[in-house]
Amino acid sequence: MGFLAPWFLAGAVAIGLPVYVHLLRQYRQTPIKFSSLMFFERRTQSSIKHRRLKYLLLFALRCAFIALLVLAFARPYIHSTTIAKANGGRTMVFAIDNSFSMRQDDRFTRAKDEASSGIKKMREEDRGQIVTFGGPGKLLTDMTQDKQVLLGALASLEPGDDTSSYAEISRVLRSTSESLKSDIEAHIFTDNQASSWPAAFSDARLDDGTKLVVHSVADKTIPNWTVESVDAPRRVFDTKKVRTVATIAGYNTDEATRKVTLVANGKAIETKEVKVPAAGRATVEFLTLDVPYGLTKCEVRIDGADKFPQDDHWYFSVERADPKPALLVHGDNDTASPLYLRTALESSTDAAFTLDSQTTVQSTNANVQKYAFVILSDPGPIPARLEENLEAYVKAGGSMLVSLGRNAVPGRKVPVADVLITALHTIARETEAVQTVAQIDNSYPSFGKAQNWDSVEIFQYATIQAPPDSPDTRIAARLANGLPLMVDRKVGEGHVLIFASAFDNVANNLPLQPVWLPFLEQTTHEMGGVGSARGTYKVGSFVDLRTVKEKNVPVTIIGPGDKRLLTLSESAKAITFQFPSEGFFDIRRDNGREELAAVNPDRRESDFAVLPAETLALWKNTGVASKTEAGSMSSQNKRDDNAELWWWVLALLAVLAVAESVLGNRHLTAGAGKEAA
Amino acid sequence: MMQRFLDPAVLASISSLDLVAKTVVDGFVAGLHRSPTFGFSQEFAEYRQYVEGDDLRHVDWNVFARTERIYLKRFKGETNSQLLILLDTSASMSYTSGKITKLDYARYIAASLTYLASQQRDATGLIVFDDEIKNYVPPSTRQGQLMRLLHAIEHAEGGTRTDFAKPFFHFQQFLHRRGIVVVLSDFYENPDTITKVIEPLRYHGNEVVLFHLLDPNEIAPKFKDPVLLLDAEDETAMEVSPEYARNEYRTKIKDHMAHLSDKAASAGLEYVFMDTSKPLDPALRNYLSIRQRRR
Repeated sequence: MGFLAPWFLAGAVAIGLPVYVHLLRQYRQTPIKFSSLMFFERRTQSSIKHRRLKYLLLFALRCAFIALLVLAFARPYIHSTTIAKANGGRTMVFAIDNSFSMRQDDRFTRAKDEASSGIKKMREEDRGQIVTFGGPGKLLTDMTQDKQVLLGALASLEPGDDTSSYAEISRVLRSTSESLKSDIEAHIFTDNQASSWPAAFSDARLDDGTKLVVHSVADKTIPNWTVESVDAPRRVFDTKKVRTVATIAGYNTDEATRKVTLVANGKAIETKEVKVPAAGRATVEFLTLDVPYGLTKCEVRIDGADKFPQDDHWYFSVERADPKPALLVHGDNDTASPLYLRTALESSTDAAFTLDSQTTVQSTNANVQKYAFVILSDPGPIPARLEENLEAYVKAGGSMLVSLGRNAVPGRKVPVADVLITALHTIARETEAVQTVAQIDNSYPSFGKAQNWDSVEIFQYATIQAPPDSPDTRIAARLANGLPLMVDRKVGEGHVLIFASAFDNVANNLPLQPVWLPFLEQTTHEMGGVGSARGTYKVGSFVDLRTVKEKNVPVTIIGPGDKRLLTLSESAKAITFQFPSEGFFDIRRDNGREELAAVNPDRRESDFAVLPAETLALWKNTGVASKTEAGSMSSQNKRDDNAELWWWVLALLAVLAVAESVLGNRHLTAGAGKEAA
Repeated sequence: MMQRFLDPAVLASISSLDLVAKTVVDGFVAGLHRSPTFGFSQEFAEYRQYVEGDDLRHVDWNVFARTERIYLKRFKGETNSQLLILLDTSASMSYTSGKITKLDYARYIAASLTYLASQQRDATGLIVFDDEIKNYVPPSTRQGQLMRLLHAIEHAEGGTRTDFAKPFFHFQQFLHRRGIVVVLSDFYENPDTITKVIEPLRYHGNEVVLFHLLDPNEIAPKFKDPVLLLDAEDETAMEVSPEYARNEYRTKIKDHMAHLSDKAASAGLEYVFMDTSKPLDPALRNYLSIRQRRR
């Protein structure tokens, strides 16, 4: 037991007040006149004794009241561990590291054996629990004294492909200690990977009374090569224009030459040799990826020649498809913008789109539904039928890019988007400075890789006015004078992008600048839905199974070994899916949308550098030292663990207050009666 | 119904003492009409030839007018009594636990007796005393005597302590005629001393009545808690426990009353105990009874 605010105990001197009032102060009584004392005798001692006895209860109540008040302010508590200790035996946690690195050699088997041995050594009064921390911490059993349950759970354990984290197991131990309100003895069976140590030491802090015993199954650091990452396009439109770059990393390795092979559908396509520097990285570039139409499981392999072959490959998937058609509508006399737009799209690395260029008049009856997206390049007033078609197209989820040049008519609205063109301004070079792009929204998809807009000069621009405070409007870029240059307006399920200048070399010099190609590529990819899906994931990461439109579409996931991974209920309702292991996961939706997710372990697991002994010692001390020394860091936790008693004291205080009032009132009434007599 | 007018609590609300006396006596007398035991009237006694020195107020002028002889008309009452009231005004008489003090009560009795006596043509006198004689109104039947007496009674204020010896020694010299002596006091004195001092009055052929006035709280004090009591006469304080007041004190005061009663009886004195919360009629009844006896 202790006090959280012991300095309030000084208030106990206030008990002197009732002591003075009841015992020390000379009792003064108002004398009552009587006709004659002829027949009375002096009995002073008896009467005072009587009076003191009578007020003794009131005195005791008042003393107790002040004492309890002081006690309540001092905030007494009982340390919960004292309660827990009454139970006797030890509380043991057996934490098994089942991360990807534990697959190396017989590490996992040794860890299980040691844990099994520890469980068998448990005394009858001890209780234990099996926890894994290869990924998020998992409690495999309840806290139990049944060794068979613990051994059974341990036997069923398999190594995983996820990443271990000492911060995670520390969090689990803290949580266990807090919920059980008792000291715990944690046995951790791990390979002591330095990469599992958190960035902040405080994340690995243990609670008071946590005794940590680390059973290491890795004595020394071993060299290891791995395919760290592969950069390949998600979709392939032209197999001869595909560039696949693999990064080969060596951890604690000497310089060596490694053979790197590109594999598609199990068939080696190309093999290259690369010299990997000592404990360094090297990249290998493959310029062709001849894959058939549809989804293809690809892989980059190295001849590891190390003691951990499990990480000598990197899975990725590609989808081969024909380029999608896109519609370009331009003015009759506009030849520049089709040229610049077509050239830019054809120059793109993946050439995902073919541009169908039409004049405004030609496009009157165009079937816009078949296009991946539509670009209206300074079209001027467009036929009403085309506008109707475009509106239906956009509202259904299509995307459209509108540029506003000299054909823009002030006072009219931008087609489909409810945005008014208020003016068309041409810079007079003699009197006016050229406008530049002053502000871009880096989070907007068009500007992810296109951020150098310094050299872009705008000579002619339209002033547009979107409805104020509309949540559907997003200004992606602004001119130096603060006017919007690029506005994304959501219409129905689709989007209309408005570029307030034309895509030619008259209104601005954008098509001549380096930023033009990435800007257009990213913009068209976003509009055409290319590149929005990822092809490669890490073990333990999540994938969205449904978009808003696919709310009721059943999803099937076929994992490695052709196993169906979702139950019927999950198939109908699950929003996300967490990848449990490495391999290819075929995500099929009933609406025909299919995705092949390639899942790889986190490459931090490939680094077998061992945690320094000093760090381990410090880690162990966070639990034990703070208990004995009551360090400041743990004071907050200590408070949480303590069962505070102040509310009980307060309740008692209220009862005493009532009792004191009743008793005091009774004495007062009696006194008044006496006075009256 | 008339009993109500003898209640001291009712009388306390009447400010004028003569009205109090009138109320008491009239109420009392009205009650007597219904009783065959007691009665009085201005009974004619005789006519007597006027001799020099007689009070002309008693001349029957009707007879003189008819006969041109001067006769005095005499009534029986005139020949009978002299009433002397001794009123104790010591500080202890000012005590009360209710509305009226013992002194007030004594005043009522004194006034009532005075009024009653004046109705019967008794010569009435008053001696007010505490530890000495404070006021003396000689007994007389003269006109205005009643008002003099009432005035003296009304202005009898609480004094200091009681000392029977000194005033009684002095007023013995005023007693020239035998009559009735009424002592109104709370008698906080040794009964032996009281009887010793008062007894000589009997030797003059006086009938002596001791009206012992006590407040109910003096007879049976009720204290819940220990109290500090202050003597009204000598200002001494004493802490008294309720147990004592409940037990020993009551015994002692009863013993005192019994002892006083016994001593008075043995000395030929009439002893009447009066509770100040009770009506006054015992006092009047007692007076009439003694007067009757003396005729």
